[in-house]
Amino acid sequence: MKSKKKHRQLTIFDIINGILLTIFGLIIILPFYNAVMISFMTEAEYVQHKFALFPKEPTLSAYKSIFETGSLRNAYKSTLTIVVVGLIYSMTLTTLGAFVLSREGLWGKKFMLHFVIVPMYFSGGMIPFYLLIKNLNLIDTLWSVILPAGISTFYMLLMRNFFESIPKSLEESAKLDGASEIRLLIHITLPLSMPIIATIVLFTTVELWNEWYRAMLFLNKSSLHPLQLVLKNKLESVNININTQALEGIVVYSEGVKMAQVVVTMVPIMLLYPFLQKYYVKGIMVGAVKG
Amino acid sequence: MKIRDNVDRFIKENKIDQNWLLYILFIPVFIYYLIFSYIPMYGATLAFKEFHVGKGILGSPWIGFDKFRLLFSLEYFWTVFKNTIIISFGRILFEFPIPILLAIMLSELNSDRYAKTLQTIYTFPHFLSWVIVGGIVKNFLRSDGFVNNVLVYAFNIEPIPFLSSPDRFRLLLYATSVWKSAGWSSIIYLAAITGIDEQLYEAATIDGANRMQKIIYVTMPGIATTIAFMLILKLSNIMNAGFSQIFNMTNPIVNEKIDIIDTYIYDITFKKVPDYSFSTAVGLFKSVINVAMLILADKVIKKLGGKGIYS
Repeated sequence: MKSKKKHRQLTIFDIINGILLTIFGLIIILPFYNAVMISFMTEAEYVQHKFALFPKEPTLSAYKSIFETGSLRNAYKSTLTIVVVGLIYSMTLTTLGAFVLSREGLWGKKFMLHFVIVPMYFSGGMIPFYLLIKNLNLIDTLWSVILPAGISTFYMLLMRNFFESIPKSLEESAKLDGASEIRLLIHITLPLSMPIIATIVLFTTVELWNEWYRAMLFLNKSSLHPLQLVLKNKLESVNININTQALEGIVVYSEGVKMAQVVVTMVPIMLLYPFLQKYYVKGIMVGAVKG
Repeated sequence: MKIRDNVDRFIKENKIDQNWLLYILFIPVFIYYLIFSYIPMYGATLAFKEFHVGKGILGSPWIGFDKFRLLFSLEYFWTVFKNTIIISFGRILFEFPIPILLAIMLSELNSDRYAKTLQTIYTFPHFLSWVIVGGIVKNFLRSDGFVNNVLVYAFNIEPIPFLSSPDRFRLLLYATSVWKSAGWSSIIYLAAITGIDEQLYEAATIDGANRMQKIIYVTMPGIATTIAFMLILKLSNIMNAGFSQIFNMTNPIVNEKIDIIDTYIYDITFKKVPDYSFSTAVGLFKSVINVAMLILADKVIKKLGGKGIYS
């Protein structure tokens, strides 16, 4: 940001501006803070509390109850599988696509580009996609979540733009030495592209971690449900219980348990956030404002 | 042997023999798109067929536009269609300006370090799923949640039924979306502001412009192109009114006011006896409008001197 404005005198404008921005910051923080505090409250205290900023008798009982059932371990296992396998699979495909599309003088490149861009404009919709996964026999396997997440065309084109910006002279000298395209990719292109690779790795990790939609469509077995879906189902228990709880004996989760589940689903993203923060500006800049 | 010669020459001229490895490297990418994008695109023909489970998409008989006729005759479909458009425009009206305002305010802040800290806070919710944000928000705004407890016990006001007032729920969608994404969206404008020539501000100072005048006459024109592009992108995306958010925040009391095409497709397919052909028709209807809007937006952006949406 601008350098000259330091040592400037504070005006009313500055003060109001600062206060408004601070308030917006507090509005962002408060719901998180509230959720975390509730996760440490006893059920009795939650029911009675007015707006306690701290739990009077902090308790881990909500966390104990979600850790005791096997579901959390299964959920972490599913989510981690999706993230790790999905990341390797998706980075491989994305890098290959970006590399090939960045090569100059490749016959048919225009067709290849159109081939990957058309799906950004038009998709077959939810039902044909659902039927595809069903026909591929992927229902109730984690592959139904992982395989469709292979390429984000947007990231692939972002990476391609970066590859194209690498000085041609480096590649040419490598080619003169007789390096194949694969060696070129591994020894020249990739090492020079670490900033964009790191950006896309981080963003893809977050997206895979946050995946719930395909899991909801394709995973019926609750032992396979990833964290986000487990959380979603717990959060919704209240909508169901209004009418049917007494009849069907559905487990109703307390707000404490729900918020504890929110926290365990959220914490890994919080741990990743400092790294994300380092890269997100780059990520959004390379791609979004090219106009 | 003439054909053979021609083929050889073609291969030589286009360097296919030199680049053969690149073509092989592209095969997995090609297969990925073929399976996960192009087969479902073909599957969209289901909208013109009567789906029989045993026969699959290929074998099911053609029925023409029957499903579309049925669709257009349904009153509730038009409700959903209207909701989609209203919510999309509502988002442009209420959500679109906030990141611009936020970027300008942040750039006017005296301390760069404080601006950075605030930006860190503002951007965080963007990285959470709507499942998490929906959960946090629903708890925060419950009838006995934090906000209502403050209203009742600190200000002695009746609690506000945020989550169960159909008329206000769209506003709640906009507000929570601003909460989640405004910080993230402001980055692009902040970057545009950073790119404005410092001399313009100095010249304005010499001319005696005050802070507000500098914002209006230097900053705003400096980011006008970015604003225009972002607005066109938003307009072109009008058929996507925010499935994830609505799906994770809705409840039976308010659903009719915020049921959009995407949530409608999900409901008719997975909560009732499914008519796959009909659901596909709804999806196709949406996709076709969506494509038209995107192509239009692409043309406009290119006219304005940009490189187009996706290239």
